[in-house]
Amino acid sequence: MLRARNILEALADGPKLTRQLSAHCVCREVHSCIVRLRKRGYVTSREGVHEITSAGRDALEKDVKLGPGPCSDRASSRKGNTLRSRAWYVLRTGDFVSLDDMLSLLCTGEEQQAADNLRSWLTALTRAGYLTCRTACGVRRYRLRRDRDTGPEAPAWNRATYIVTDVNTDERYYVRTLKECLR
Amino acid sequence: MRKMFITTQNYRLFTSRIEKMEMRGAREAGMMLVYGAPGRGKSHIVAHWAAEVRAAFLRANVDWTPKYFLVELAKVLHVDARGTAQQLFERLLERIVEEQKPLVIDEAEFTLHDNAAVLEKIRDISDRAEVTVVLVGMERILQNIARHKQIHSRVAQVVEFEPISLEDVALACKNLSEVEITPALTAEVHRLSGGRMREVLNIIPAIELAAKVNGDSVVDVPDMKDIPLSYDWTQRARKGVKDK
Repeated sequence: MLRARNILEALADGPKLTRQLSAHCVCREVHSCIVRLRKRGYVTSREGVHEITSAGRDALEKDVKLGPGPCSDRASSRKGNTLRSRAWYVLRTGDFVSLDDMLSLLCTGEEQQAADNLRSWLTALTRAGYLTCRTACGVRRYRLRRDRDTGPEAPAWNRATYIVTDVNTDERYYVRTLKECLR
Repeated sequence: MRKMFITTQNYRLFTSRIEKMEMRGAREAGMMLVYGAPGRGKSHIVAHWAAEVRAAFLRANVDWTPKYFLVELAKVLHVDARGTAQQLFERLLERIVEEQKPLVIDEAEFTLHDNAAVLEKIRDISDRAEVTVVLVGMERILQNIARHKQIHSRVAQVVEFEPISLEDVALACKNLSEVEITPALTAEVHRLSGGRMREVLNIIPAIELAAKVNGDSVVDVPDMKDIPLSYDWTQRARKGVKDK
């Protein structure tokens, strides 16, 4: 992400205060950006002064992706038994399935906003060309296109960037927003 | 109606037996048989578990032959399905040993044709790859498998799915219904369902619909009087609640 990269580049020249970074990076969310970089061990902060760590310098050199969103196979969601990964399994092994089928089969009640989460993911995968869907009796059913069954890992959907990332193939698809589709 | 998985007593029984299977002594005794009357949630519960562990899930067809089964398994495991049955078997075995994926066969009755030729093939895979195989079938499958000595000695666990309990129905009503169902009506749902979860899942929307029409947020037995909630196939009649 450009903002996080700007901050690290600014800090590479030496420690800086938050207001100096704000002036340098011309962005409003410097604080939240620094918090994220600190969590990843790229920045240390003490008494309002921020400093780049050696891990931060490495990340800058190696051009590591710094922002939120899909981050290849390093994301913790790739490793876990997440709702989307289980839903991907159901799509790969089953035929036409509806959102309700998936919720009845996979959700134990511990997942937050499971229906919204899966609906958004299924819509994104449909627009990215992974799924075909048909509607019968008012119920939309989805089927994974066999030529798009790319591997065991579920494609990631980032709502903020409108990007579907397929970790199996390292491909990315920009999914058009509804507004863009209507235009 | 809300949509979610209900952890019934049958589910808890199934998962506890799976845990026992994992700790079995004889590695070749890797098969589990799940059976019970229709509507008790066998396939649903096993499919939920399969999604958790990423098992290879197959639904047997009436015309399955050993080669047909291998081709279907190859599709599920994304293995090249070309070549002779022997070549295919070797490729599949390699993949299964590598991934150690459990294998689930739903409608397993269909593996018993031709002197259980398909089930013999499944046994070969289970023996050589030492993976867990879950066979799901109706009540009669137990007697049918009992005829094949070399197979039933490999079945380490047999799980019979019992009719769902009142507690299961109460849990389903609480978690799935968007209106509050009183304990008395829950007991009626249990009676009408005949121990079948499938029936409970049909009755709850009917109750919700009646509640919506009447504008009720809490539904009791008298509210459902004269409203058919289920169909009795033996007597060919609609069934409703009994108002005492």
